[in-house]
Amino acid sequence: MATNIYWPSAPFPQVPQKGFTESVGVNVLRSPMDIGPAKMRRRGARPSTLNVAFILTSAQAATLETFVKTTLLGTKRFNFLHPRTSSTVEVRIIPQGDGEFYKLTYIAPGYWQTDLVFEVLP
Amino acid sequence: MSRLSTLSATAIRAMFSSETEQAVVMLLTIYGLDGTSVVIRLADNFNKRISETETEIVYGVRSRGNDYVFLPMEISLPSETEDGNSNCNIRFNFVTPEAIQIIREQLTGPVKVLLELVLTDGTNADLNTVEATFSGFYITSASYNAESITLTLGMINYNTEPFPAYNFTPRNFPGLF
Repeated sequence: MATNIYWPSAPFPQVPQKGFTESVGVNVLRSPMDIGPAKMRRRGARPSTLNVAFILTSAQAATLETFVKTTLLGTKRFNFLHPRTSSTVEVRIIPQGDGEFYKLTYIAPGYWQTDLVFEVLP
Repeated sequence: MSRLSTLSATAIRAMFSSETEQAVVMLLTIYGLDGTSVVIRLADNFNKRISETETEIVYGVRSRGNDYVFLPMEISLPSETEDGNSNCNIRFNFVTPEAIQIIREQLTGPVKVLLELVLTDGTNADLNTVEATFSGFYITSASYNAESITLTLGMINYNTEPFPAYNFTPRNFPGLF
């Protein structure tokens, strides 16, 4: 059963306005040899990570706080529109140590910037 | 016990090639104290979601119609020693109060386990070809701390069994003396 939780709907930002990077890879085992090229063998799937940055109003910052604390309880996965593929993927927010899910940075009266890290579940 | 000669051509080619998409998956089957009922099936890798609810995804592999739940574990496979007896350890970096309770309450005797190796090529196909089988192992001890659970697996050591099983000794047959 797919999750029924969705990223907050518009006018909440649907695409990152302030920056987006994506990390894609595969878990492999690379064994260097004494001579010649290293051996590489596949170990398994690796979740891609998305670094997304949004500009939020104060009301949207409150929405995000409710979404993370109450809806997700910090752990649940949710549907998110992938900024590159425009397809819906299931993601989780990766806390950045000590339970910090995101940090709000003041940029102007009533406006905040936040950076989040998502992992796309295989 | 399996030998290299029992491996499939695909497995041997994957072992010796400089790059391969084949990954080894270890399947661990833990039986109940009766030795026949299966308590849990685990795998140390995954290639699909075997079940998902609104709140949880369970990853794993499917082999011969059975689902093996993905749980990261480290295993030291048994080596071939001269006396034929070798131990094997499995360490789970997954400690929960439920797991500790099962160890303390359910693990009251030697529990049979079965280790199998299969190959996955990255697709989500069922893994029905068993490359190697390590049977005849029993959980002989379990230890745990806050970070990991370690199971020690051993085989029945027939070298220490008495043979003949019973001798006519005063201890066994005091009426004869």
